[in-house]
Amino acid sequence: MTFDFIIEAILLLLLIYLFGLNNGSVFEGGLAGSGLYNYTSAAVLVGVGIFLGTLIQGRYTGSFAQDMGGVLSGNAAIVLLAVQLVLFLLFTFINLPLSITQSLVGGWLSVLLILGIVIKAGPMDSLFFWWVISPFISMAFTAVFYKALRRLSFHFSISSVSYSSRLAAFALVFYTSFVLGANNVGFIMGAFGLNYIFLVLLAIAAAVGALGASKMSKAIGEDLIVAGPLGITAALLGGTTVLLFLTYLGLPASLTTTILGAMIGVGIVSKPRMFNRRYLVMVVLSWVMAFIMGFVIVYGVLTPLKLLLHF
Amino acid sequence: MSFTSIFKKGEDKLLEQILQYYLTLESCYDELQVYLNEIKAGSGSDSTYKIISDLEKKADETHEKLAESIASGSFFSYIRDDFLQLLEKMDYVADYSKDAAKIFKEYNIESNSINYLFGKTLFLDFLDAINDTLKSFEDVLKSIKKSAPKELLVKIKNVESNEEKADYVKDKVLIAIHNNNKELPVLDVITLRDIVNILDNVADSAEDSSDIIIQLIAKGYK
Repeated sequence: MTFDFIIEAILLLLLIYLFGLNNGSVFEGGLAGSGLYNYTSAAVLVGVGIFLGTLIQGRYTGSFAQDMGGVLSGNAAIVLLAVQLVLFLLFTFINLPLSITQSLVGGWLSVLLILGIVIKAGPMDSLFFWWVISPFISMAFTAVFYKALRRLSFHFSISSVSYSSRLAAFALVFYTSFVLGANNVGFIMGAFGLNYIFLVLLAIAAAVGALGASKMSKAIGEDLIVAGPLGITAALLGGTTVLLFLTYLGLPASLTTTILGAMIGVGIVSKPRMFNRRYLVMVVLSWVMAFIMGFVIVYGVLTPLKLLLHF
Repeated sequence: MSFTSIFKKGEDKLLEQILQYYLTLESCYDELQVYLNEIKAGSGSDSTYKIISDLEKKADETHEKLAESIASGSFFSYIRDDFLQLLEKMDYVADYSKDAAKIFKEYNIESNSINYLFGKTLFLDFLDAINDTLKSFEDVLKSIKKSAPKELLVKIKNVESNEEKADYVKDKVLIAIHNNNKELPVLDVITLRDIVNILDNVADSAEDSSDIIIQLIAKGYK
């Protein structure tokens, strides 16, 4: 076991911890924030869901990473991970959800460029295309789904709706974590060539991160949009299903982006519409900035390092 | 929330407890009616007054326990505040019933004035209208567990119309009391007016509670 590997492993665990913290704020936060769930129960489900998702379906996005440039290791991998950590801390400081996937893919592309690996245009074009349209698909799909769900719910008593929401919450936390594991963690597993023992550690780190998501959950659940249990259920189901679709296309994408798109969809068809426009602009900006900053910072750090360390 | 509680339909249990609580509040008003009949017949008995007072006390204790269970539980947690508000409003049914009984018991109202109130005004109709309002709200609470919102809203509308009827009769009673002030001592006019207004608050509490049910529907289906 080399020193580089140990550093890489520590950084990866830290990154996945933050990943759980950051993404937990979106999917688990909606539920716990609306009072349907507590964070401890949700965090256990997050860990199990991520583990199983990566194990069963992580190969799709994992193979995307390997097809594009193979396994990352050594100095380049360490710089890539360290930049993600810094970016995450920066975004946490300004209380915004960061798409770690987008910033990681941005940084990962820099690494490939610096290592002289030819980036295949086709898959990259497809990735950007889906990144841009996936929040809109999520928004439209969820808006329709939410409308239908509301209409259906009016045929049932408030007691049955509340009970169903609780059961749905339970299933959705698992479903969302599963898809998150399949897409995002699968990509990380592929990019860094990790084994299944490491996967267990990653799942634990993500669950621990999800436990600490309460502060950011509040920011999204209350600062961006006021949604009830049906709205949150529709947003989670809609956003996650879009991410699952992208997983089957073999494309790593951001759960934060698809779920926030879905929440906006819920907000659009809700009356009265209650949006915090300023916060919405900040979130959209963070989507764009995540990729650009990941790319630029890793490129800027690795270029002089490459000359010094000759890797 | 524990793992096993996720699969229990605790919502129904909570709604049943709220209904039982309301039935206690309602029985406080039923006992008030018994007490008023005694007053009409001559004088209200201490034992009936004690029943009203004990029921009001029991309702307060149940209110406290229910509020605690709603605040710390996980059912309907997204509309928890509204449920607490509902309990608060419902509680006034017993509070005002007891207040009305207390005035009859402790203030010296002349028998002429009592006879006038019961015999020459629509006071008994007013009491019936309040009773109808309370019963229609009971119907709402009984239905909330199994009825869809559309059906529930119809029942809520019923509470509103009964309360409006109570309001209408109340005005008639007040007018009758005021316009015959030559036959009644001024202090009795003031006291009877206070009693009527306090009793009107009983019906208002039921109506306000039904408004909170509308709020629950609006939030619960969002």
